[in-house]
Amino acid sequence: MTDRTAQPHTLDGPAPEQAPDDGPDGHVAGILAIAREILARPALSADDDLAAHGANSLSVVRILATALTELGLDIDPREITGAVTARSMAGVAR
Amino acid sequence: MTDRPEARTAEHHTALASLVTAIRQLRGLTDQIGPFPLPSDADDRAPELVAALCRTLDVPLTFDAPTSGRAKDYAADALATEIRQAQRAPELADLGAEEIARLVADARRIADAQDEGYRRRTVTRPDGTVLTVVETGPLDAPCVVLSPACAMSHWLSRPWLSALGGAYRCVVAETRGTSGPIDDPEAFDARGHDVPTQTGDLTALIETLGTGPVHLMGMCGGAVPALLAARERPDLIGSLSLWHADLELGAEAEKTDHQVNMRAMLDLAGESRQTAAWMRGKLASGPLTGVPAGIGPLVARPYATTELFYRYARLTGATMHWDSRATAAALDSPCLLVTSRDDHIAHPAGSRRLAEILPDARLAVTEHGTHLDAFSATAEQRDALAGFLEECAKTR
Repeated sequence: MTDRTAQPHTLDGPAPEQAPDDGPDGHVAGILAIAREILARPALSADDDLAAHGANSLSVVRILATALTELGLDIDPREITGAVTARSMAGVAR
Repeated sequence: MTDRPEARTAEHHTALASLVTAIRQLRGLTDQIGPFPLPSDADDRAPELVAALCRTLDVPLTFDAPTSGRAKDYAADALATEIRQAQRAPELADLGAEEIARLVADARRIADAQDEGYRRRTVTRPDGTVLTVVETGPLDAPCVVLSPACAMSHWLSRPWLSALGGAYRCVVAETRGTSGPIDDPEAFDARGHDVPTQTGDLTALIETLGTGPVHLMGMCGGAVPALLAARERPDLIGSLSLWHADLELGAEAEKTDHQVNMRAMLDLAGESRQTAAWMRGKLASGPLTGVPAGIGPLVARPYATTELFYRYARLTGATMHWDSRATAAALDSPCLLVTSRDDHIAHPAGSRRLAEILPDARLAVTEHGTHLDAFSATAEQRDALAGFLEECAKTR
């Protein structure tokens, strides 16, 4: 299991200069790393709408499953109001 | 409006036929799991007619699932799409009891006409698995067998059955565990579902036909057992064609994001029914993307319930992981490969790589075409197949 929170993942491009505000639970960076990898969008930011960056139902479910298996976070997308972003996912993560 | 024979126009017939087809697309689903709840807005304009048609067509659907809120199931929504649209045709609005009764009788005739010339039977395997087989065409004609993607209803292959049924005996089998009532869910696990098992189903079916060597068409993921069957049983399979094939051919063959995401999702969903339930819950919590118009319910069927999703994950996961390179390199039979440059589901690089590996391949790559065009039986596809079969017949 990769500790994505401790070591944010980057693929073939540089990570955004500004690190995401991880909030009190520190989940945003981990979820963002997963989303960047699955969507192959290394420059994705925590507030980017995943749908606008190529996400579809399959890739979102894969992000949710990876967040559960690698970060132990259960995310219910029904609880998200507005755009699905790494930050909004972290906001409803349990 | 209770009695208006003048209104029974061609438009009414077309609207009714669309609704009949939409309901019948779900027959395989209800045959397997019994009554199935669709969202309550899926029969909002013609509830009495839809209910009467479901009864006469023996498709036990209910229309009481939530249409909004947290309990909404988007897989059920995808399954309802065609019925919802068809029953909203203006020709089917505001019907009285007598008119509904007449339309029900017409619907029965439409269904009978749709089934005319098709024969349905089963093949029972030694492990108890019952395969549903649908065929058409003269029994003594040269035989073409279709190996569709896992868990896809024979309805999806109907364009090919219809196109080939005049000159060929054309046969399609549904994948093990994806047709017939589910009496004992875990028997599916005990009986097996790997690629050799799926291949054994295919060759057993061909043996029961009692014909000479057949031409075998592998569609999408169905290309995997088709290729292995052709390699193992050249006495049964004289030639092969693979349509928008989805195979594992190593790192040399690029994959689409869909292939990568689908395989990862199925790997997890196939771990257990519990995991499948979790995955399906997440998937059905939002709109399913990429569900095609017209045939959406056929494609969405594996997502209808946890058990169907689990089975789909086990069956399709097996084909997506099976490395077909060694099988392809050793194939003696001629093989036609058909794909399109813009298939965003199964990358055309797979078919190109396969053409390099196969000893005797012809590759046809169209400029445009979706993945599901594998099942379209377009004039161009029919010509490609006819030319290939003619060539095979000359060299046999």
